[in-house]
Amino acid sequence: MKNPKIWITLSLLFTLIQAEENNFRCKNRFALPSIWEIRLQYARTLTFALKIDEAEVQYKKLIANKKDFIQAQIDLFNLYLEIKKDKEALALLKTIPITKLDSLSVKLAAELASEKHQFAEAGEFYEIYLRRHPLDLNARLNLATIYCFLGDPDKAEKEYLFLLKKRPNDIQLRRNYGFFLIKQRKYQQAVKELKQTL
Amino acid sequence: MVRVCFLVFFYLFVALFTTLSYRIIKPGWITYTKASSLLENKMYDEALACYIEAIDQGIDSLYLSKYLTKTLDHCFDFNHPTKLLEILISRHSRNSKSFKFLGNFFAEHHDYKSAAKTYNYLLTLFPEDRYARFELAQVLSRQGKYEEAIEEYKLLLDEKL
Repeated sequence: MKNPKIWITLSLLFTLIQAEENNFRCKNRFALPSIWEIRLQYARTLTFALKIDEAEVQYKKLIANKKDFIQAQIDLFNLYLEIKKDKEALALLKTIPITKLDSLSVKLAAELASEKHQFAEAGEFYEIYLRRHPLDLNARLNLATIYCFLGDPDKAEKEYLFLLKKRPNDIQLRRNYGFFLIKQRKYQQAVKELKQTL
Repeated sequence: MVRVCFLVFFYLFVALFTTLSYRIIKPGWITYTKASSLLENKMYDEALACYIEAIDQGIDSLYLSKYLTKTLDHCFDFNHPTKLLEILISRHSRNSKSFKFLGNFFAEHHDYKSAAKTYNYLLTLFPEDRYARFELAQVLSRQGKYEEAIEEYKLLLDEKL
């Protein structure tokens, strides 16, 4: 120990930092959350109690008063999905940054958009979902179909080839791919694929 | 040699100084430290008594909850953690922070019934404590008592019951 002063200073500093850290973490331990957070919890409890209309009112109040409160929008979107208010859910979806949604909600949004023939949105949602769950093959098949509707055969084919690589023995999938090739006028390749399904 | 003696005395001085300061500023820290050393020596009942005293003295540490759980795991005399609440009530404590700590402790350990009991007691002492009401509402909701939770939320949001 050549220079004790440094060691003493360092150890005192370390003790001080530790005490400050503890103090900082405990400082707001019993702090009341914001009025928005309370209203959000209230709305959630109303949902759990199946008082859907009241919950919807509370969510709307929250969104109207605090437009940047994304969680309220996400919750309301999920509520709309649950009670099958598809139109409202899709309208709300335009205001929510999709990346903030959890995977299941993104998938549901994609299915909903696809159901309502909003293929561009559906494609975007599926892409986001598949970035998080690349091995969800059913979602990938849906995306391939959506690419077909959007008139993007290259992307659709890429998805089909990925799927066939993962599920080479799936006859139905290969048949779909065969029909896709027919639509693309790739008859020889289509025959080759369809023969395999017989 | 002189340097070593200086260092030893310096450390002793720092230790004495901080202990004295803590005793003056926050006497609960002494109780908390005592409880921790009792826990280390596996004197669980005594440690528990000290931890309760420390909580009552308003001690809030990140490790208190952890140590309290560890102590409770070894205290066979305490069949149920609500005894902690009973002890605190019997001390006629009016320290809201102690009850909040205990309420949170129960909630963190999924003992929502005891947590609700704690917050309810706290609200009888301090009916205007909004933090306790919010936590009570959350705990009631987690127990599936939605109607009661909704009433608490309405009170918090000043909505008509």
